[in-house]
Amino acid sequence: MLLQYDLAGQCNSDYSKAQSNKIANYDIKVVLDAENKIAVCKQILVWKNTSPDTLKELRFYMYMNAFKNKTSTYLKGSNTVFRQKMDQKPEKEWGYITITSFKTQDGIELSERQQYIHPDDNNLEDESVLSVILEKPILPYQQVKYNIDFTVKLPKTIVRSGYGKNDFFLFVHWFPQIGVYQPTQSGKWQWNCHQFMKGTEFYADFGDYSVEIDAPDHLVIGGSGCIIDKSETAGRQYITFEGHDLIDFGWTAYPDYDVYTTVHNGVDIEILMPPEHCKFADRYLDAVTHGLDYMTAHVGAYPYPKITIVDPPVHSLNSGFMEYPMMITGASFYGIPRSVRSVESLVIHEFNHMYFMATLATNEKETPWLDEGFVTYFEDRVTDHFHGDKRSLFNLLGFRSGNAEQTRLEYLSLPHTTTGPIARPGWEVKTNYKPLIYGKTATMLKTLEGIVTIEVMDEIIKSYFAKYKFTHPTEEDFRSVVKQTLTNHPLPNKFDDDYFFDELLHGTSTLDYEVIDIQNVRIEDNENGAKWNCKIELNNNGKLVLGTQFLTKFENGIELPTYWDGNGQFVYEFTSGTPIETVEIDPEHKIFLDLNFNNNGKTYSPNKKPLIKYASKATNWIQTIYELASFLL
Amino acid sequence: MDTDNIRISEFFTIIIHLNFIKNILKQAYLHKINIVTVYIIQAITAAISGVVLYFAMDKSIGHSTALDALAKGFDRTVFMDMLNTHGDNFTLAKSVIIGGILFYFFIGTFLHTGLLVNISKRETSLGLFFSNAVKYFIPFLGIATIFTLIALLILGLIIFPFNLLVGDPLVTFSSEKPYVLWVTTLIGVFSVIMIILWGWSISSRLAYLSEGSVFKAIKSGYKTIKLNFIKLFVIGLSIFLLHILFMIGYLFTNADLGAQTWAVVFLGIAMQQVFSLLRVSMRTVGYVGVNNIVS
Repeated sequence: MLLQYDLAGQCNSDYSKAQSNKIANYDIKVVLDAENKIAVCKQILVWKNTSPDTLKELRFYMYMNAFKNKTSTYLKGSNTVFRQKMDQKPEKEWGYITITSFKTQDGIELSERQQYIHPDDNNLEDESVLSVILEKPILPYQQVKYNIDFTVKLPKTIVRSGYGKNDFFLFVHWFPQIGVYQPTQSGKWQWNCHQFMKGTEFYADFGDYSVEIDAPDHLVIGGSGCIIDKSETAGRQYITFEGHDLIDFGWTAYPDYDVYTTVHNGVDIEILMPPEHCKFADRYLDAVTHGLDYMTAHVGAYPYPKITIVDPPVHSLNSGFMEYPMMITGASFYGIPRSVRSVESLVIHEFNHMYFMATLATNEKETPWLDEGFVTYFEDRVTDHFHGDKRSLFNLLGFRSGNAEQTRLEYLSLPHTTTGPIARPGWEVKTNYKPLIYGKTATMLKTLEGIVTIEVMDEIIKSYFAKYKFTHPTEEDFRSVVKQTLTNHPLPNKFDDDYFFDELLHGTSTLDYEVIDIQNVRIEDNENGAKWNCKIELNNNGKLVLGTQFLTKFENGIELPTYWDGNGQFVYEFTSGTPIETVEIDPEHKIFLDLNFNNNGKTYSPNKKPLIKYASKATNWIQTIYELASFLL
Repeated sequence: MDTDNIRISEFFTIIIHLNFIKNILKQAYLHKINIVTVYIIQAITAAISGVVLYFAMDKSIGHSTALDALAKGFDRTVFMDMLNTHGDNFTLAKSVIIGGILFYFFIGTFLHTGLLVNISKRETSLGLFFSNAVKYFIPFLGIATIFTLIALLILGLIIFPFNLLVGDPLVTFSSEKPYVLWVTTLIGVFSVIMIILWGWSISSRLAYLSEGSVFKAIKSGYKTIKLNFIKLFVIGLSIFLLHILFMIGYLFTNADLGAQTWAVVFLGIAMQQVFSLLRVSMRTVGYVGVNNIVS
């Protein structure tokens, strides 16, 4: 049952609060000046140095400064972002974040010791990473506490964070967030705190958040975490959110949100949407419950007590399509029919990020495929499972497509010869980001599923999630889980997982199976019947070599599956008492990376009926166009 | 107020209207040979594109087992893989389709000229259909061109000021709902204008038969539509709505029709062509209706 409330439901009290190592913990008090789009904030940061190093410097993400001017690394060279012309942007529409006071526990002021640094591109104009030189070093494994006062001014929404018409606000990347101090592959510890660049989003440590918002009382407020307290005085409201084991905290405010809440399997679901989108409330709920049920069964239990889904008003659509811990933003448009499930698909995608990003907190900047690729793979699985694999994305008047089908087509749209590998930092992928990072990775994972079976794939994902949740897993971690699981479940045919990942993540080779020819030559005809010399010629037109089966069907109905290593050209000759009718490589399309499925199978007796059907259908459409075009003739 | 008399008068109005419709259908039926001729020529012209498409598809996937997937119903993967890999095979088909549409602007005018003149002169002979089409083709093409230009001009007059006023809809409107409603309304307004233009265009062509001048005919057609606005509009609207109804009917009945057997394939083709024939017939009914009003 979906209920409409003016206050979000409270969180499940059974929810465990100690899941991560809680390195970075924040207590933030926010006073929102809605008119001037400014929040004046006081933040207490409790941070643990988990390294054996003595630290003399702290580094912070100051990402709102990416929207301070067009010389920031994020906006440099961009004249137009989401149809907004950067040159014509008035002063009041820019945003910024500034620290007004930075004090140690002992009351020592460090704000004089702060400076913006530019570790990635040396752009002196960029102010998205702040370094604070400490007066007193932090000792190994020491926990420290700082009082940070800051002011954040939201930009008119350029990308996600910002304000919109009628007091719409989305506060994300809005507070000074400490970077990650971690060991490199060589074992040396260092800051991982990249500047804000396109194609990058999150990388932060887990911790507990308490965020108290003091805002005008006409605003409806939602955010990461759960509301634990709410009160009002004349014209103002005070809401306190609490979130545990989060890597970030986002919140939104808008006077026109309708709030829908329900509980599904112990998880509070809250939907915030403008009234004109009310017909999508049920669709959002269905999508998120499908996500919850499927991901719980195939990945692991949902690790938070609540999920908030924000459907931004269309004037602030740039705030949509995004994920934050315990809060996601969708996107809908008045009038999208139920048979077009782009709305559901997006919600499921963003919800899946609660697993791959929020819980398995991979470095989204350096290895974006580790979250976006996995999320897309499961978006396909969830939607195809609940709505059918050839119709889950849209099914309208005879035209239909599945979600995984769409993902593969995105992968196919890549210019394979010039596109670089998947495994590289997000900022290096200048073009074809989505087809490569989302599409190719998801198609690769679906191919892996086809090779190892869905049951083994589930075991891989479950083990990976169980072992690395609330940590920062890497490519090597995932690959080690695959290797271990495959050791426990040896495959009937040779499969080299190292080759598979090396070629697909770090290489650009492709695969295209083709049945070149089938031949039947009658060689004998006597009282015992005829004999045929049969020949099958197969080829892999690509350089990626993956073994698969091909199925030979004979005229007498016998089917013969044969394993082929998928390497180059393959010619198979034999004598048979019956001629071959069809040969099909990978008939179940397990190797989803194949660039062209149509040439996988060849037949001696082609079924021409569909060709006639679609040619006649096209004829009829042309007749319709004639009729319309000659309306006034 | 004498309510009984009002009811009786309403009853007779309905009877008169029913008789009017019955007469139109009866007269339209007399032109069945002409209707079938228009339909056949239209179908043949379209089928040329269909045949070229067939050969393009056959060349691309004609021996593929993927056809079995297509036989079960629409399969996006089969189509997209085909276009991705064999896009070049469809270059000729694209040109033939575009050329066909341009060609039909002329051939369509020719056919409808023959049909309309025969209706006006209450002739049904196929010989007269063609000789009238030849005789009046040029002036009717002129009238058709003028009305097509008027329609484009009106479309521009709707789109440009609307775009100028609205600008970026995401910035102008607080919600997309009014924008969607505005666009829907404007489509409705344009459809209404098109229906009026349709009546005016036919009236003008009928007027040409007596006036002998394109511009005089358009002026005369304007007078006709002014005097008989409601009747002409109702006929045009009915034809328009029936077109939409048939289109939706066709889409729904064809949506899940596969191609597993020849019977299903031919059933689909038969349905498609029945809808096409009905469209031509409906147009003829419209011509007869306008002609009855004009004369």
